[in-house]
Amino acid sequence: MLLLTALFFAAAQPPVDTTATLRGRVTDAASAQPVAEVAVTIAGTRLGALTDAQGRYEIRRVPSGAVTIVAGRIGYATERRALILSAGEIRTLDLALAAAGATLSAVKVEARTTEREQFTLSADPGLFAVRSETLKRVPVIGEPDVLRVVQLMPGVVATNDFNAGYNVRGGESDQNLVLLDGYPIYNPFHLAGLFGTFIDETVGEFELIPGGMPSRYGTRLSSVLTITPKAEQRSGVHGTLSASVLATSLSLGGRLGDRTSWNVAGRRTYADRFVALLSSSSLPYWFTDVQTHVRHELRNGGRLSLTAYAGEDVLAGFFSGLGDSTSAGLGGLRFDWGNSLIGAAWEQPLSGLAGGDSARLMQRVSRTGFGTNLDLGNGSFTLENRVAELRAWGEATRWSGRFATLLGYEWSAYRVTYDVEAAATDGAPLLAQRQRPSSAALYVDQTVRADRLTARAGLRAETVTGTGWAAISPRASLKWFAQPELALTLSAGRTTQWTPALRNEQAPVRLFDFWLTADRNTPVASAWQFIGGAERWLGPRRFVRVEGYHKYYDRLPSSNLFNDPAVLGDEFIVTTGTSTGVDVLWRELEGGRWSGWVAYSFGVNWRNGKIGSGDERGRFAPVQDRRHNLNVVASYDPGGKWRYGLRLGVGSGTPFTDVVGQVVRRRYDPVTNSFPVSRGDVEREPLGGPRNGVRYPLFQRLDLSATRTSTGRRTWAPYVSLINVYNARNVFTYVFDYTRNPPERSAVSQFPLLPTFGVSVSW
Amino acid sequence: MQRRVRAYASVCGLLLLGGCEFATETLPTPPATIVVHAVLNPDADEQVILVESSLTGRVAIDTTRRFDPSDPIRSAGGEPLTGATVRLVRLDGGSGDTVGVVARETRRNGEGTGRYEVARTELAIAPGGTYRLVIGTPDGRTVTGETTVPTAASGWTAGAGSVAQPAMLDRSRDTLRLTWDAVRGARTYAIRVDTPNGPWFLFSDSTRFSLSGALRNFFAPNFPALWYPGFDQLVNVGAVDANFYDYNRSGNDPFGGTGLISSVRGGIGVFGSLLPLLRREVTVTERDRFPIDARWEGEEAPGFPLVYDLWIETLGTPRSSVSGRERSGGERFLVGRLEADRLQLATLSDARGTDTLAVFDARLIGDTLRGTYVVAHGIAPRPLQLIRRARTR
Repeated sequence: MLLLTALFFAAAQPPVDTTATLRGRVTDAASAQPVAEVAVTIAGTRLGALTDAQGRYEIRRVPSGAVTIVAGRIGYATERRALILSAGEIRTLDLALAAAGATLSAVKVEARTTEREQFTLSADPGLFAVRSETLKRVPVIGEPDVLRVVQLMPGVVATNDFNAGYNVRGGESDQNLVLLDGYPIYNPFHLAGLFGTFIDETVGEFELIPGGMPSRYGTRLSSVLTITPKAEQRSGVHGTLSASVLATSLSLGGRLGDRTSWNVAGRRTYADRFVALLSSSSLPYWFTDVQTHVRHELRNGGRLSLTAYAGEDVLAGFFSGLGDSTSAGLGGLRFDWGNSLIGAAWEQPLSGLAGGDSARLMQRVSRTGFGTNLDLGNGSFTLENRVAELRAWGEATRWSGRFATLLGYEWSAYRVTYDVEAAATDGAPLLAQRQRPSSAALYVDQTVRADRLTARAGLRAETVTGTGWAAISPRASLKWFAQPELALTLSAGRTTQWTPALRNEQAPVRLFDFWLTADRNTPVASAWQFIGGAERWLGPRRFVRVEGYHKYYDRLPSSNLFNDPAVLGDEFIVTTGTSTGVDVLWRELEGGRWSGWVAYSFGVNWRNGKIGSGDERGRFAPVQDRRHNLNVVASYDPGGKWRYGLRLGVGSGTPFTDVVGQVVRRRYDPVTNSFPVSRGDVEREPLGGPRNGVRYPLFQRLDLSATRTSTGRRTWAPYVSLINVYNARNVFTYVFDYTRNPPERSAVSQFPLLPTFGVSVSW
Repeated sequence: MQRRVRAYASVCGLLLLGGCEFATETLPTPPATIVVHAVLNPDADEQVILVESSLTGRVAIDTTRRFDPSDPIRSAGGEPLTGATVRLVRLDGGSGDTVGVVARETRRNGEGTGRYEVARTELAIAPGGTYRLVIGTPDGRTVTGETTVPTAASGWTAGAGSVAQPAMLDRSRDTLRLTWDAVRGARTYAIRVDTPNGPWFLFSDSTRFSLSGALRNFFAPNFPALWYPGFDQLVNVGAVDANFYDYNRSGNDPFGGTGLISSVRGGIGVFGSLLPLLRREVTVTERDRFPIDARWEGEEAPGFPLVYDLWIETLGTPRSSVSGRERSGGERFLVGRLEADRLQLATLSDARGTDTLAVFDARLIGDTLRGTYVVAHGIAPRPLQLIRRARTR
């Protein structure tokens, strides 16, 4: 009896807890800033956690006894700690990670460059870096969008709410090099330029170089945007499922062994399926993105990686579904456009190359494509534009004491097709253009660091077949530390571009660009840039930067609105221009309750070129000439489950061409020898005044967001955003009516008050 | 065309994004620009020059008027410029004449129409000739332009290119193939097809052109078929000069009001030339596929037979497009819709759909169409029954 009683009580007792809890904070060893998305794992188990924006982590149910903690993240040296945990113990373990390569005294290129590192180690003008956690703090239209955040950076202008494209320091929107893991993407937009193509859950960080690019970057005049994908550090398979009013995305990642990480993500809009479910109407539009990234660490310290992306916008259906069913016999309509990319990279650190302290080799190969296809009525009218670039890019970097030497090459082969056909033309196309140029570049950069001075000088030699053009472009930067926390920077250099985009800058909506390459008729464009600035750090997370710039554009192709489609070579006219301005940035980096930035830009932009169908030339302001632009981006994280975001944008009006009348277009009929009107359909067209001679009124918009994060086995993060909180009436364009007496003009607004929401769940 | 596609797509994008209109305000009246439309045609009995003002809001435009060829500007949404002195001068005639012929302004209801004409007897336009247009307005402005008419082949006679040769086209299987001789001085060739939905035209540098029976009219809303069974549709080919080509291939984009290529100085518009090369009158048919594809006979009134040849022009769900021809009267053509068993059919005054003369609203009951027939202009509807018959060709 006594034995049974003892057994009963033994069975009724709760099990003894033999596990412990480990928590702490991970910071950057150099700056003491918290480091997010560090994988903190228990070696030999599947237990682990990612640090949050404050660098905090917590791992529960850690087996008591001897354990090894491993903390790692790309760009940092892996940290290991051996501990002995007691059952039921709650241990606090703070870790400080050293940046990989930080033991080198010279400039490093391999590791991710933070603003602080760039201030300390680089001679180049200021870049602007954003990490994925910051991307989620900005109020969103639909869902987090890399390009929408880029629009809020200093020196960057968005011409209106509906355009995710951006203009940097007065440059045209096709002058920005966009690199996904080092591979170019031509048209990273969806839905008429409303959204970017990058799935936010795949983005580790992105940074914008608004000018003064080092010589390793070419093919664009104004800026470089590099997007670095996330690399999964935790064992097992982890993922995030997100749903917004726009789309659903799924991102998965994991590790294969200790050396290989993989990520795959996909996204699709679902408004078309939603409409089809609820009604007999159709909304034949959708877009998709698929992206994958694999990285393998070699035993000798090197790395192999593979990145692939494909995205597509599709507007497809039947005419009968779009309008009257009497049009059913028209068959189909299809309008699609999209990017594709596949690239592979090899990076190998070396020691003691040619007597230096260390070295690094890098080789990349990629194929990038963008295409658009329009098919009306099953081939009655078709339009196709495709650009494909096969690129090979290699570098060797050597560090020796105070010197860093970079030698590199870049080779690209382009294939551009632009076809317009109509079924009536007996097989002969209305327009058929083929371009097959190749480009080659060799570049060298030499950086030297003295006690208070860092200087970089480089040369980039380039040529493009079929143009008869070759040039050597110098690029140099100088940084002098007046004080340890105050640096003055000067930079000068020339950039070139041989892939212009055909676009009508007057159109406020940018569906996509038609890409061509320079040839005997279209010159290679160039721009000289001069930058001077100062940057002062006011603490480990706060800095102020002021940069003035002047750019001079030469041989800048601009779409010829009067071009003859039957004539090849008149697609562009050549303009020159200048951009002058100053950007002021005050930034609070993540780590405290408040983070964000205030960016103010003042810029004056002019272009000189043909302004009519004849030979008359004149000066005009480009549509991106927003003289004053202010963006305030703030995030408040009180430390609980809620996080709040704010964005305030104020800008002076951008220029547009005023409509000063209308003209009735009349078509000659040889049968009646008259100019009849068909079935009452009078064709009226606007008459434009001086090009971009007037300006829209002031732009202003306040956006707010709130996110609630619940952690556990799964992390839930629903969010809500309010765009244009006080419903400011910002003018998108005007509609004119000169048939009335007196004539009238009506404004068409940009985004009204627009609530949007979504949720993500991570595991 | 691709600029139009991009502009069209941009406008669609603008509307799709749901921009709301707000803040309508009145504008001051801007200065007016003289707008000229003139195309010299050696085959025509008279040369027509239209002179008007750009729309500035100075006067309210009546947008409800029906088009009147004798008052083409005012009846088509424009503001005519009356009382101008319009002269045509041949520059290479060897006569040394610098004054030319003064055009007469057409008047309607006692007022000028902005339509000026020069008769062939006053000035015969010669292929290969170079002409200048000089317009002097009552307020002292001057507009000029020059054009050189493409040169005709030897043996050319006025009007030869405007004689319509008949052709048949079964749109379900045929392709209309056109060929012509090259013309010196032509910038390109304009191919034009008249349809009930407005003209379809393209430019071609080739002297051959094919029009398939399945072609769509991508200049009309919803891209209807180019060919309508039952219709006689005119196809014209003409050699055009650079002024004509540049004006018609270009246009001001809807946002910037820029892009139109004008060939007149002191104003905007076109002073070009077109030499007709060939004309075809294409009788369009289609194989019978559906119950309504047949001949339908009845009497509009006792002793007044009514015979229709009908086809399903475009099959759709729930509504199909119907076209055809009235065989019992003059050259009259039919367009309509068939939804389930209900047919609504309009009788047009011509193949261009200029006017609707009558409407037949009926139900298809077996081999009978039974309904009401209304002749336009206020006459009361009367019952009408048509019986299916075998179609004789």
